[in-house]
Amino acid sequence: MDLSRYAELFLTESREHLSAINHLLLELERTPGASEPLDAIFRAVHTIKGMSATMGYGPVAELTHELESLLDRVRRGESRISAPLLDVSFATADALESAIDLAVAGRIDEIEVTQLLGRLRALASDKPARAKANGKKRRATSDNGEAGMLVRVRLAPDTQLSGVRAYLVVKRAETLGTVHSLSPSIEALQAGDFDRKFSLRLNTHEPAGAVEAALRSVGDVESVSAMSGSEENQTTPPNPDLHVDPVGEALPREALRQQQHIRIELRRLDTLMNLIGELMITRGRLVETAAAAGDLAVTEAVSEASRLISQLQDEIMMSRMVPVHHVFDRFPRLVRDAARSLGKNVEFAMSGKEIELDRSMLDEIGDPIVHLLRNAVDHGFETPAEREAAGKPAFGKLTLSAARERSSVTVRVSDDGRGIDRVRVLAKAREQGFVTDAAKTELTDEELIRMIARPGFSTKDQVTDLSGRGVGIDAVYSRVRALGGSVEIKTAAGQGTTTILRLPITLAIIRALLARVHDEVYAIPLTHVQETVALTPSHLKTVRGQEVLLMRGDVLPLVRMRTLASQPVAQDGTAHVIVLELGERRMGLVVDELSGQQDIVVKHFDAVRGGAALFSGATILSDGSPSLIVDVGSLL
Amino acid sequence: MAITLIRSTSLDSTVLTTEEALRELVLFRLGERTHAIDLHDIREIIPRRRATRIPGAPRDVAGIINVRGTIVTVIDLGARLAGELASADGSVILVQHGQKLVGIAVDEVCKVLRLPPADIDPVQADAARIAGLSSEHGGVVTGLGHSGDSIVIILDIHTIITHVLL
Repeated sequence: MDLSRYAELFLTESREHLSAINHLLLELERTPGASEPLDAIFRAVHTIKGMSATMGYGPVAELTHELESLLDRVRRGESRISAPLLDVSFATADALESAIDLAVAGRIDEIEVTQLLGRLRALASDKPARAKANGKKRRATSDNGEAGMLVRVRLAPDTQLSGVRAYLVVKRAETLGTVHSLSPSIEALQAGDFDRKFSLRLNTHEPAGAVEAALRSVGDVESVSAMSGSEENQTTPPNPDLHVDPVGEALPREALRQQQHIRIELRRLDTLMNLIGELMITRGRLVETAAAAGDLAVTEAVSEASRLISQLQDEIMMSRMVPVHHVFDRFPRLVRDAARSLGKNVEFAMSGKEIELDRSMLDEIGDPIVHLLRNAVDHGFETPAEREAAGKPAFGKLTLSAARERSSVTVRVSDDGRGIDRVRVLAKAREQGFVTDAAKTELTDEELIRMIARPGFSTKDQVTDLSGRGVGIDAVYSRVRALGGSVEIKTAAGQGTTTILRLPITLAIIRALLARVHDEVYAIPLTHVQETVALTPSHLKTVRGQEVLLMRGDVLPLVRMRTLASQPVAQDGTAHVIVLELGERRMGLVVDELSGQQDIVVKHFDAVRGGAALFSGATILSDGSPSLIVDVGSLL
Repeated sequence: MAITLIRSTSLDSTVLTTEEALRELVLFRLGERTHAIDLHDIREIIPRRRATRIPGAPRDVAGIINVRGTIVTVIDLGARLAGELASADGSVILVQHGQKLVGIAVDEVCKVLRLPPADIDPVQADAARIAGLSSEHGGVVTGLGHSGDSIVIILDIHTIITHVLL
C-alpha cells in the first residue's frame, strides 16, 4: 500500500500538533508546575510519533520518541522542568517541523537529528537506574496469554478514508507486537468495507493502557479497548458488535451535529473566487446590455440573476475566511526566542485571535507582523537595566491585537518601550541626505513616518540577526500598501510605539469608485474615500503653489488626476473632488466625472520601468477593458 | 490568425530524426524587416486590441489588455526596435516569460519557420552592423537566420521583456 498519498494529511495534522506543542511549551515555561500543559504536550508528541512511525518517517519517529521519553520522566517526577529541558524541547519542536517537511517531500535522507538526539538522551539519562527498574516492572506485570490481547477499535464517525485509518491503526499495533485474527480481514479494511468497527488480537508485552493510548494516537479513533486474555474471559464475549462503550455510543450523533466541517483544497477555493470574479464582470455587462434592450422581462430576470450572483459572491467570500490565530499562533514562540536572544524581558499578549480574514490576505500579512514584532523587541524595548533606571516595570509589554472595523481589519502592534527617537531619526535622515533644511530641529509625526518608511533607512548602527538590516519598516509599508491597506504609527518618547495596520478583509474583491478622467476610467478603492463633492471654482485657492479647496472651513489640498495621469489639462467643464482619508491625512483627488460604485475584482499587472508608481493593481470593467486601481496610500 | 507552416527549401525530404535539431521560429514583420522569436516561448497570437495606457510608461509600452481575465502588459516592439509604433491592426504575440504572460505588439505575424542550425549565423558585432540594425538591437539579437534569399533577425525576447518590465 502506498502511503505517500496520505503524506499531505500527515503534514496538516502534524503541523497542528506542533503548533499546539509550541504553545503548550510556552505555557509550561510560565507555570513550570502545571500538569495540564505537560500532559497535552505528551499526547501531541505521542500522536506525531505514532503517525510518523506508520508513515515510515524514521528520524521523525525517533525524535518524538526521545522527546516523549524526556517528558515522561517529568510526568513521573524523575526530572523537573528546567531551562535546558525547555530549550531542548523547543529545539526539538523546530527540528520536527523541518524534519516533517523534508520527510513529506521525500527527502528523508536530508534530515539531520543526531546532535539533537544526543542532547535529548543526555538530559533523559540523568538518572538511568530508576528508569530501568520501572521498565522491568512494567514488563513483569503484562501477561496476555497465548491468544493475545483482544483489541477493539471504533473510528470516529466523520473519519475520511476510513480504510486508511484502519490500516494505520493496524500498522501501529504491529509496532507493539504481533497482530493476528484481524476482523474483518485486512483487505476489507483497506477497501473501507466495514462499519467503523474492527477488532484484532495482539501478542505484546505492553500493558493494555499503553496499547490503547498508542492506537488512539493514530487519530480519528473514537474508542479503543484492549483486554488481556485473562480479563477477557471474565467479561463480554469477543463480538465487537455487542461491545458497548458508553462514551462511544453517546458521541456519534453529538459529533455529527458539531463537526459539520470538511477540508477543502485551497486551490479549489481560489478557483471559485476567480470564477465568481469573472461572473461579476459578466454581470456588469449583462446589466448594461439589458438596460439598453429595454425589455422589462429581460431586465427583471437580469436583476434577479444579479442578486443571486451577489449572494453567491458573499458565500464564497465567507468560505475563504480564516481566523487570524492560524497565523498569530506562532508569534508567542517567536517573541520569546527574539527576547531571549536579545536579553530583553518581554511579556507578550494577543487579542482578537478569532477575527477572520480572507485566507490569501492572512498569508500575506504574516511577514509584516513578524517584522513589527521583532522590531519592537529589538529596537522598541530597553534593556532590563534601562527599564529599571527609567522606573518602568521589569517586563516590557508587547501586545498584538486584531479588530474588525466596518469593512476592514485593524491589526495593532503596541509596545511600552522607548518610543522612536525623533532626534536620532532626524540626524540619520540628515546624514543620509533626506533632510537638507539645516534649521529643522524636530520631525512632525507625518515626516517621521515618511522618513522611517524610506527603503534602506535604519537608525540601528549595529546589524543584528533579527532586524536592523535596513530592510526595515519600508518592507512592511510596501507590503501592506500592496494589499490595499495602510500603516499608521503613534510614538511617544519613553512611552512606546504603536503601529496600526489597516487591511481590507479580502484581497480579491473590493468596492471601488469609478472615475472618468479625460477618456480613461480609474478605480479608487472606497476604503479610503470619505466623500465626494462637486468642484466649486469659487472655493479654489492656491496656497504656496499648492491648489487647495476651501470646504466647510477646512483647507483640503488637491491633486488633479489629469496631472498624475499625464493627460491634457482640462478646459472648463465640471469636475468632482474625491475626498481621500488615510489616518489623519486628507486630500482631494480631482476627476472629471464619477461613474458610480462597483465591486471590482483586483488583478495583478506587471509594472513597467518608468510607469507611474501610483497603481496597486488593475481590474476589468464591464466592457471587458482593463482599468487601473489607484493606490491611495501612495498619494497621501 | 492562421499561421502557415513552411519548411525551408533545403529540408523538403528530411527524415523525422533530424527534426529535433531544427529550430522552430515564428516570423513577424516590423516595418520592412522580418524578425523571429522561438516558437516554444509563445503561448498564443491574438489580434491587436485597444490597450489601457499606463501613465508615465515609455512609448514602447502599449499598456495593459484583458486576455480572458488575465491582465497582460503589452510591449510595442515596433516602437522599441524600429522606432515606429506597431500597426494598430497588427497582432499581439503572447509570450510566456517565466510566470508572466507578456504581450508583444508587431505589425504582422508571417509564418512559422523551421531552420537547421546551419542556416543560422550566430550574431557578431559586424554582422549586426552589416544587417543595418539599429542600436536598439544591441544585445537582443541572438542570430541571423537565412530563409531563401531573405535574412531573419532572431531576437532574444526575454531580454527585451526584462528591459521593459520592472
